[in-house]
Amino acid sequence: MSPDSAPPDATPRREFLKSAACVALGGCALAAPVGAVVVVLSHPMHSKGTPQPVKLTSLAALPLHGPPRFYQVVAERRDAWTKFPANAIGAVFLQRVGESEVVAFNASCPHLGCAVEFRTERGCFYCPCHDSEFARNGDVRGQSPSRRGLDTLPVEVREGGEVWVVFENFKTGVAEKISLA
Amino acid sequence: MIRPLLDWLDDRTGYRKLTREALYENIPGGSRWRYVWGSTLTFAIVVQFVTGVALWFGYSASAQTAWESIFYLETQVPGGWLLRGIHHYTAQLMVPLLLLHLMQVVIDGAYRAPRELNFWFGLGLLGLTLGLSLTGYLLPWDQKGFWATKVATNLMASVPFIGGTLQKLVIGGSEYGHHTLTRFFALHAGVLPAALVLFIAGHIALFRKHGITARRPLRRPDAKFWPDQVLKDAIACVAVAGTVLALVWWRRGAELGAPANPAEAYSAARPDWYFMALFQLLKFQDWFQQHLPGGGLLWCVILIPGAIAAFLLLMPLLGLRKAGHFCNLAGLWVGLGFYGAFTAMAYWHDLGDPKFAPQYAASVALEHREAARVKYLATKHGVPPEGALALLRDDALTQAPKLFAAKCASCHSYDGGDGLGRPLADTQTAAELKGWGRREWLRMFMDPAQIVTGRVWGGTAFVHPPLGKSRSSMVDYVLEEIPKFTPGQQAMLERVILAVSAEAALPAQRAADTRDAALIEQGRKDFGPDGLNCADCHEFRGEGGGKGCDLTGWGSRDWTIGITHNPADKRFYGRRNDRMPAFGEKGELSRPQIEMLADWLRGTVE
Repeated sequence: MSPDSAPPDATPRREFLKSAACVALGGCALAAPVGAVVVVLSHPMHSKGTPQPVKLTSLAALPLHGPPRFYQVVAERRDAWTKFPANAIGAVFLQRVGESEVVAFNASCPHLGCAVEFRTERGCFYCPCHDSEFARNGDVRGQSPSRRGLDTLPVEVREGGEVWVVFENFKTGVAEKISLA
Repeated sequence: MIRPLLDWLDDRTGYRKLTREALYENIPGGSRWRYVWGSTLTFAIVVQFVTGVALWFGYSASAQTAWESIFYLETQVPGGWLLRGIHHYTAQLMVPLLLLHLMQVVIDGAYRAPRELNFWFGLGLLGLTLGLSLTGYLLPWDQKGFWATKVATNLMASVPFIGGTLQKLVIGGSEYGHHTLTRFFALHAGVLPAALVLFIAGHIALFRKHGITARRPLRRPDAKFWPDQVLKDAIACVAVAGTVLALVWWRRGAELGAPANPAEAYSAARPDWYFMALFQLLKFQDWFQQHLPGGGLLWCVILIPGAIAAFLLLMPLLGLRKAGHFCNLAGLWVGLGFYGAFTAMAYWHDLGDPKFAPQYAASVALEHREAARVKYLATKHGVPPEGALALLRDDALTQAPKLFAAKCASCHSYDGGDGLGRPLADTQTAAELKGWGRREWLRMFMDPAQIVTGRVWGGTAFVHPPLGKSRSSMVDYVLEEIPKFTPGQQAMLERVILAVSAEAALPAQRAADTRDAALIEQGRKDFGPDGLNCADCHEFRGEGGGKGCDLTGWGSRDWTIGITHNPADKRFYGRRNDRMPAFGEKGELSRPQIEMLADWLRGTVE
């Protein structure tokens, strides 16, 4: 057969119906596997984290109006199929701004999530990835790429001066503080 | 608009010619149903690739996470069970489809020159598919996959000269663990599929080169592949997909057993059904050992399967002559007959044969129970970092019956059996312990008709003392005093039973204990000198005492742990203890093990 000749057929209508049936049946046969794949692979779109209060330190460890202190947040965590009794879930800076008043910043940069440091000599927070700078109160400073200041986290000072922080992460790269939980 | 773009594409790729060649291939004698098998297999392979890659997105190949990640997929990810079910049952269906394809090719003589090479490509695909099945079987890391794969890889060691090395390479050392999974996974998702793609490319290219081998005589005019044959192929693929979905639905997805436990042999582990004939062949190892030189294993694992493979490979050469073709056909049918017969025999042994079936059923039942239990625990508590197996290891409901069977059932019974529901191996010499702590148990104990039976003390020195010693005064009391009780004393006895049973503080009796609080309070008084004088021998709530056990807290967790720890303690039987070992004190059972036994006997495990 010459590859250029059209397929000989007397009844194009019949031929068209057959072709359409082929496509429809092929779709039917693949529908379930492809459907299952799409549903399973899109599962992460519906899963969310849960903010949880974590005990970090006590007031005694935070000098009044002292420099921000860095704390790793270690908490019980369900990572997909495993439940870890103590898993590092993030980091925060704590500053004691009053007798029993503590401010907490999520230590991840609101720009793109790098780890922010506190520069004692300049008295500000600094992100070494893309040069974002934040004042001690968390506000963006100077020509920073970050669209918003550092993300504050709710702090509870409980009995005995225990400092608890409700840890959660936020959407990066935008001006609004949008919870990912 | 579209046309110039397609022209441009065609200029660069020549796709029009390619698709035309692919679609408008001539089929002498028209389309036929017997030609659909190759297409259904291609369809099945596409499904396996698509679903397999999606499973890969959620699978974690390590001994602590393989089972766990699949359990997560099955229970937490919507559609996960369906995805895995489709992958599993499509694999199951590929084997009969491969056999049908092979039969059609041989019967139609499509394997003869010049198509030998293509036939060998096909045999290679058959081997690769079986390899994919074998490697995939282990990946869930459940008891069935683990123990079946252990057997399969041990068989590999019987290959002469290189077997041992081969086995170590495949399982990643001499122990089964992380590396076994990473290697099987690399084979299953990387090496074998890549080889499969190459073989399919060769297979289809050669098939197109030589064209279809039409069944003679030609009954109808020639037709084109598209759409005539494709329509039949598509219908067959829909039938395959429908069968897979029906199986997934009927079986509620693919099975996930209890997590692999190297310390807990699973004797009912079987390979997938299409390997059952080979499994059965191994049961004849001894016959080969006796009657043929070279050792039974060599025959069962190397020579017989090797001869089958050699026969298949030589078919195209044999088939050049007409007699050879008939020889091939005969060999194929006889081989299939044996395959079917051995498969049937294997299933008969497991499911019907009174010699093997009960053991198989018991083993399967235990595995199913543990699978259900671990899934319950994993859902309730989450899976710890050590993996799901740790949930079963620390679970009283799982471990206590096994401990009971191993340590206690040589004397005690539980519900008339050994704790695991099996009949007792030894004659029972000590008390039945089902319902320990409950009122019913005490009523049984205080029953003159029962105390001398094997269900209570019938087998002990308390009833049958050694020469020169006397019977326990408790037995005297039950046998001689209780039958003479006045109705008033009988009522007292019942209240004492309620009071002593209340000491156990069983969760199952909490409602009854609360309801009967007044009777229990009265029963505590009846225990003493104003009642049945039990306190003459037994200490109870800080009063009385003598030769008998301290019944304060009788049947409680602490009391039960205590008597298991050391029954010869003065709080319990003291010097009068009859043969019960001090399980805790002698280190026969660890503290957590004794606690699990106590919790299980007291029925407090959720």
